[in-house]
Amino acid sequence: MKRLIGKIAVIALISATPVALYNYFIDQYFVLRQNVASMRVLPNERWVKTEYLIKNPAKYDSIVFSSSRGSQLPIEFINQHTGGRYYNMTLMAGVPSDHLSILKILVRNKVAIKHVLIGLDYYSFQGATPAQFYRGIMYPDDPWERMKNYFDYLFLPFDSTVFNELNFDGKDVAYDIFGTGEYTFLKKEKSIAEHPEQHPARFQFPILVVCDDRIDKTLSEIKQIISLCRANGITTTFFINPEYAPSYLCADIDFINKVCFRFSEITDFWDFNGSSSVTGDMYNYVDLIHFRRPVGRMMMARIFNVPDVAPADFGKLVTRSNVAAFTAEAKRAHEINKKKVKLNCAPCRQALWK
Amino acid sequence: MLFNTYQFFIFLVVVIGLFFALPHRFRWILMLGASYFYYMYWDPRYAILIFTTTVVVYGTALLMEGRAVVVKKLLVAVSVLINISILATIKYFNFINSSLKDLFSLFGVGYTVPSLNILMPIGISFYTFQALSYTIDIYRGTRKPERHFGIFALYVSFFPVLLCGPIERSTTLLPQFYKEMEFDYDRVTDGLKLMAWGYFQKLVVADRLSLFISQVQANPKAFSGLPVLAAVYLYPIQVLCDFSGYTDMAIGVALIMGYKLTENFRRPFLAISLADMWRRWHISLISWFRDYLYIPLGGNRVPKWRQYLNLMIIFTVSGLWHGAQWTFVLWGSLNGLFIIISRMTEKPRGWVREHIFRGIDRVPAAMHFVLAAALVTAVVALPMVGIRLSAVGRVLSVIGGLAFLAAGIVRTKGEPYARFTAGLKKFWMMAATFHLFAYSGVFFGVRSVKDGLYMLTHAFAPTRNAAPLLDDTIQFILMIAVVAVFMVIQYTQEYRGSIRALIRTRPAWVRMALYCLICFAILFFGVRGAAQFIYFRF
Repeated sequence: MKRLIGKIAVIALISATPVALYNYFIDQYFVLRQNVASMRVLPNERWVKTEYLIKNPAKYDSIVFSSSRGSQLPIEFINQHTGGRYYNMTLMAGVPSDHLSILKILVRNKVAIKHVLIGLDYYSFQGATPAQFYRGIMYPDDPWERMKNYFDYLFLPFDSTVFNELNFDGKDVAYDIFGTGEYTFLKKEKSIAEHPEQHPARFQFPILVVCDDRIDKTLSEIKQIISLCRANGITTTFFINPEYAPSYLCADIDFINKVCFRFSEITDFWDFNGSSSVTGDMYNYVDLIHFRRPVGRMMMARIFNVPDVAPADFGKLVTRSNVAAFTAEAKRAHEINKKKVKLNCAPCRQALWK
Repeated sequence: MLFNTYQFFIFLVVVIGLFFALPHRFRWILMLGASYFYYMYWDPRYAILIFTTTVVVYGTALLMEGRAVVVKKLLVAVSVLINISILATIKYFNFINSSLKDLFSLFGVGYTVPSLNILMPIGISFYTFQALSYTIDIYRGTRKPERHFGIFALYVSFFPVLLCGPIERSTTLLPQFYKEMEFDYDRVTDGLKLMAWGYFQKLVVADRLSLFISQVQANPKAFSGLPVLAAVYLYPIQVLCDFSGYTDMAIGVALIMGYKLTENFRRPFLAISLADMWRRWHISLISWFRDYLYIPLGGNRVPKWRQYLNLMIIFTVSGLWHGAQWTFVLWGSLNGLFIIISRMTEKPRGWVREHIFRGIDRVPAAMHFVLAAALVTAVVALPMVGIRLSAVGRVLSVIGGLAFLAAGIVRTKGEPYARFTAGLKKFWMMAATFHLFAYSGVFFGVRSVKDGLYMLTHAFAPTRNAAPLLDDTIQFILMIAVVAVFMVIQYTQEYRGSIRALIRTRPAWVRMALYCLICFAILFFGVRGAAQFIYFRF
């Protein structure tokens, strides 16, 4: 028996060591080494960014939470016009449940926060945080849980996507993860600047629409965010990211209006959606999903009342008192514009994560 | 608690540790407890059904002992009826109900029988068939009824085979529970090696192929041409590695504790006919159908037309056993049909084949050289006269030319050429068998008959949406590499015997290197958090 156990231990050690070494050096999700110089693909932002703020509790005083769309919100511009020290907590497929979890961890770890700016999408009311997914694992506050996850990351099987995904090595995308927290689509921006005629090709795909409804759950999470913030003296501002107009037109306006009504009952929020001079121009978007940095600047200018940056038709503050008029107008405009534009909408499908 | 989870590893280590620590007389209690724990880990309610089957089969078998034939017939009928009723209600009620609904709606008649929202326990088809074989064996007098209820309950619920087989006969498995198993180093390591090979097949081959194939099967209409063709050919390999992988793990687990289970797969893709294929694929199920259905229906002792009818019944039922869907029925029926046609045409096909290969035998070496020269010259000369060959055409011409050149050289050697043509003939028969199996297998993996027909009719259409197959070059190369490794091992096993026995003859450092390599491959190239075992559905 001893001989057998010894042999098994030797085989396990010899066969597992190269796997651990590979994962340590490749560090696909940027969790193990966190060496910026060797960042390859999009990190597990939920883990790395949260851990970074815990380790630097006084470096920032405010946070912008959002999905990947929020990566284009200009932190320096916000700092300049608010006098704050913001960190961009943009997360791949980030939704309120993520923001709530991270806020809880940050508050528990006494990270200084004065204000949070929370960017949502209509998708936030349809899909949940990515589950069972190495890029979606939240930073575990419990040390034992953290060890267990480090072990998982150390023994990940080979995943060829690390060689096929968008590179975050400073050539395709530059990620200032330990600075402002935002990233820049270098390659795509360069391509738009040098070959603007090729840009429309990025919008030739059918527009995907999700048809789930998790409004109740999402609103409950938002309520928890608000009460957590109130309890800890943190002020909040909510906004909904601007979708490319055809994407907005493919969505169900009744669902959107339902979200607006219910959301406005809880808090005021800025909505940057609907047809406007900004959302209707594909050159304001990197691709079908993400807006570009100038759009982010316009949004922040509108929220922080910086004059002469955003056009008048871009962004409206929705409150309990104006939501009825806002949604009525949104429905009318949606119906009219839907007829004007040739849309390529895919049949609606279930959210990847519920 | 799948075999490929950490939980199962912990469970297994604890069970094996206790097994060898306990005296023999207590081991059945441990194994029975472990088997029920294992099954109830999925859902505690599963225990009710398996316990019901155990009690019914145990009780009727005891009652049959020493009774008149009529009483025995009555008792066996009761046992079979109860077990089949449980299986039919749980597994087939909704299928029959929805099929009737479709039929009635075709004639515009309203049909309002509601579907049942009932629990579908994993492995019910396997343990029900295992229990039924015992009942029928007792009725036939093949064996005496088991008096020890605990040992019998262990036979029905033995955890290595509970969910996915092999479907063990009482005559082989039950007596082993009485044997005192000692810790045997060689046997234990043999079991571990078999488990490792099972994990390799499941995690490295089957689950890697599944990354691509599941995309095509989930939405076949999004693809045509190359991706569909690749899915058609790779799917049988995925299913084999998935199921054979599970079986090897099960056999390995049992072997560690000293129990020898039935071989369930014997390199089916090296079969030279469909009949041969079905003697190598899911052996425990097919032999069950042979012994308990085909032979009672008359087997080969009845006129030809009855034999064909019996074959059709066996394969259709076998399809239905796999799943309550028309796709499985069609898959089973197609295989039955192919076997009937192959039996009917056996003589003329054999005659044609013999004559073709005898002809090839007689082709002189010079002719091979001429053909080789012609093909290679064509690549160079045809563009000169304005005929352009496609890239694929050029490659095929060069490969063909080289093949004829090699054949010509071998032809000059006499005896090796005869072996070469014999090998060629065998390869041709294996390829034809695999094709029939692969094309019928399309219906095994798709959600509807329509999807299956689409795949069959669009496999050779112009290619559309090959991205899941070709966009990730590394994944594509890995897929091809793991399939190649698997096939080489299958081939070696077929012609050189057990790989484990072969490895045993090598020096210690080579053995150690191989074990490390396979463990590394499982850890590094295995797909984790992926699909369940395909056969768990059945």
